[in-house]
Amino acid sequence: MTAVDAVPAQAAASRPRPVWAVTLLALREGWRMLRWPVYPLVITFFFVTIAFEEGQLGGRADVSHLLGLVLVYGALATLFAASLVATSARRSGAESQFASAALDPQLRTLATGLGVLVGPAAVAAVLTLALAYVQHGAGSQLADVLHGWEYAQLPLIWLGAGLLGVAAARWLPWPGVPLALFLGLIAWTLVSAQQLDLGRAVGFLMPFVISSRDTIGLGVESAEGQLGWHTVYLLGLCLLALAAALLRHRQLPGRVVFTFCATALLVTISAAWMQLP
Amino acid sequence: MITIQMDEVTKTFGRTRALDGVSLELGVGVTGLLGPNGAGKTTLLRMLATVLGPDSGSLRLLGADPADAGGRLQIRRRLGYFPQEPGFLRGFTVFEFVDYVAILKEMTNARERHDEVRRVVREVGLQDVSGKKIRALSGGMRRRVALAQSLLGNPDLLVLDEPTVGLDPEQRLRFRDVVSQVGEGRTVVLSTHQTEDVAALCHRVVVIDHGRTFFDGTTTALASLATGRVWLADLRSSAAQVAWRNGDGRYRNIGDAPPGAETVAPTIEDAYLLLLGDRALGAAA
Repeated sequence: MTAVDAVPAQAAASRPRPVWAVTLLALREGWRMLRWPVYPLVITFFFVTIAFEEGQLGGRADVSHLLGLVLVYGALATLFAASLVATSARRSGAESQFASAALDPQLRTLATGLGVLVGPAAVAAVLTLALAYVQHGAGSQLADVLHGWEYAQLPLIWLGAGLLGVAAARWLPWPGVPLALFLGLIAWTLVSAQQLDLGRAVGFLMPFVISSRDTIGLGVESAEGQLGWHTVYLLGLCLLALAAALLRHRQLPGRVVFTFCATALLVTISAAWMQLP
Repeated sequence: MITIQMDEVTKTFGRTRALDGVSLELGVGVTGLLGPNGAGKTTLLRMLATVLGPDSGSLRLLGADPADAGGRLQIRRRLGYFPQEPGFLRGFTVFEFVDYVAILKEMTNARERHDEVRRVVREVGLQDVSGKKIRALSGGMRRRVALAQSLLGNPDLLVLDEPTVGLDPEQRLRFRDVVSQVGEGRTVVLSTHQTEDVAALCHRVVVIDHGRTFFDGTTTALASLATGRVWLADLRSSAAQVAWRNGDGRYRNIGDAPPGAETVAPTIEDAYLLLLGDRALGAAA
């Protein structure tokens, strides 16, 4: 190193790790996902439904059912939105301009994953609170409503679907893959529900919301303790999807990658085991 | 001051040897990279941009080793890169796109980042269209967007891969102004097919072909290779390696001048054509 270029090099090296840059990028990516045309429609539909809850739509029970459907199927929209954002640089040929940026591909993938959390999953959390208000708020006499763990599962399925979209974008960045995953998730869920109908506990491993009543129309019924473990199981699936996305790049130290993957696997397997009756 | 050190660098893609033992030492100022299509220029520039690593040989940029993760980050924090075929995220405006790249360059303070984005957009003359969608811009304007993002943060090393393709004369003049200013205190490596740009901007020129350096020196030294070997005549000379008819109807012949020929001062282009012969002509075609 020459004497002249040593000064800026030291300044560059002494800069803090790019945590804020990753956070900022995550917010940007989350916002890009939410701009996907399906979301404004979903959110508008949601709040219009609330606004008319005592009017034309026929009362709180109908509203509750509709909002539940919005939350459940909005998760599947997140799969497409996250996948589109995660593949956008590649599809538009902009990757070449980003390739030499300080935020390397792995950090950009991490930011996109966090973008699902601070974007669609955060919106799902807000919508879930609205749903809880409709179901439990003043004047509500609904019997067929969700409870604590069931509400917690709703944002998690948005998060999981989005992270799966990011992982798919990193490993299989081709047109049609998100649709195939979408169909795969639906098939997995329906087959699981069928297994539960037949009394087989393996059905509890569905990547979807499980309720103590038939609130979401899947015919699923489970005990209160299972709901908690199913929530942890969904969280484990989210972590696994994020780990899969990050594993595409080999920039993080092996020990960090191993610890993260092992934790995700342990959480998922433990929770899967614990929710079985 | 040496900012780029390459020693016997090789890079192979399948059966194609893109770089075949290239050694270079470059410093502050604008260095032009000339060569026909497929010569290895883009591979070389992608290495300087830390996008590719060499198969063998050593490479140091700005005093750091790009093969090492920490060194690569140090370099990238001081690097600007204009790729050969820049793409742009769909639906983004000029400002949004450059701002997005600024975040990738770790510019986290919103006010400072926006000021910097406005500065580089102004530098490339796009301030009037900064709110426009990039897809609505002409090809030349899009390349200026790519140039703007490469200038973010006043990089110490600026790598430009054919940045003047598609620019009109006025835009090229503006480009020269911007790049020459950057080159005053920093290292700029510029790949181009436009020998006029090299003559106008570069203090040094490297000619490569088949992954090897054919010439490395000043622009004056390159032009002097053709001294006494460029002449004007009313007819195409059989002694000429290359000849073409000028606008005034006379032929500019390049090669071994016959006795008594009316020789003229050579340009960089003349020397380049002489140096690479048929390969250069193939690229020009």
